[in-house]
Amino acid sequence: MASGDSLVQFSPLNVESPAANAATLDTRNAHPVVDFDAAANEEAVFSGVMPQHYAGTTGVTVYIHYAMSSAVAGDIDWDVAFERVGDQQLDIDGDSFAAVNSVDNTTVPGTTGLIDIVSVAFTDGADMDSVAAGEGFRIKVTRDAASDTAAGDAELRWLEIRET
Amino acid sequence: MAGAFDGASHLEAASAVVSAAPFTMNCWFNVTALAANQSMVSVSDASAVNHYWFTAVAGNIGGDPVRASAAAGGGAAAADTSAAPGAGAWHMATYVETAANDRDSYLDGGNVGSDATNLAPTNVDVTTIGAWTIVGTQFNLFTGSIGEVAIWDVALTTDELAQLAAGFSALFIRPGDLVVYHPIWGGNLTVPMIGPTFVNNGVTDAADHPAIYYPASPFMTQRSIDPGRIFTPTYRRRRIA
Repeated sequence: MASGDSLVQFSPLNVESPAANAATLDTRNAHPVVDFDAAANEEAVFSGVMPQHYAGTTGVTVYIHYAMSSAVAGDIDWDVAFERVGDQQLDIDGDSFAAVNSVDNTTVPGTTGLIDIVSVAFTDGADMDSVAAGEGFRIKVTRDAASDTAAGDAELRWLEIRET
Repeated sequence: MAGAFDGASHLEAASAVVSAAPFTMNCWFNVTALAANQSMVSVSDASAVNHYWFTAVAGNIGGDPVRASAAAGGGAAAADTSAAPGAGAWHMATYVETAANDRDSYLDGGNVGSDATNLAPTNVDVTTIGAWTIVGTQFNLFTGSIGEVAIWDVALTTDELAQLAAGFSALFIRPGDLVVYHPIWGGNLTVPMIGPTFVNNGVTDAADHPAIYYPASPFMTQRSIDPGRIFTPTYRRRRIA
């Protein structure tokens, strides 16, 4: 695939809530969204298979499409991490997410309903837990609410993984 | 679509999907009229006099609340919501039994009413939708539509109930703890997605269903085709003499 081509797209209807600190499903004008608190670091997990056409050279970039429930000022921090499931790579009885990469200090939109898109890049290999083409994986998105300053919920509308 | 209950019909499974607290019963319902006590979901001892848990529209008492009621061989106790559902519209009823002495009734994820009477029904052996079964008979039969019936063997939190009330399927909420999930759509009245098979006693397919978001698969892209490599069929021109 060429740089910038889309690999996988997730919506709130794909979310797999973790047992603890789960971001919660909600709707906004009939748009399904995943709400991340301002008071605690909440997480949403999605899973898929890395498309066979992932080149495995330049890595991937994760695009987070979000709006704020009420905030029109302040900044927001997001953390993203991959977990390779693969072919006899991971005992799924336990979690094994790699270290997070982050996009921090993004000023939120001045209108609450506006979707903002931010991105987090991962180099191929350990940075994305060595997920390869054709392998199952999970991706975890966390709002680093302890560090950001925007008030109220952040609403995740879509998540896209593109070839970097 | 959801199940249409006519005040004489019900779905019944000869299995108690939960036998003690904690549990959560949840369903969407559209009641035809706020009259009489009309049970949506119950778990009970089918042969005894008074061992049960049920959630119902209590149109027989002031305020027409949604009631979460329990009895353990003697008198019943109930938690009643602080608001009434409107007739002819879809609403969500939830009974959360956190412990034998801690039960809550919710309407549309809120309007909670609570009860702390210590009651632990025993020998429960039947799950009924659209009624409540004791001494071999169905009581409090429901008139209207019921769908998206779900029972968990855990007590859900108010955050989780809010997600259900926003219209998300029970499959999003602690799916590993679901012991019944019976959306009752597509004319399938008897075989739930999760849980025991129900026997249909006169329930028909309703005209509509609550608006629900169901889990979906992620969108996986396909390899793009290089336009220069697209096969273009060519045809030999036929010479016409």
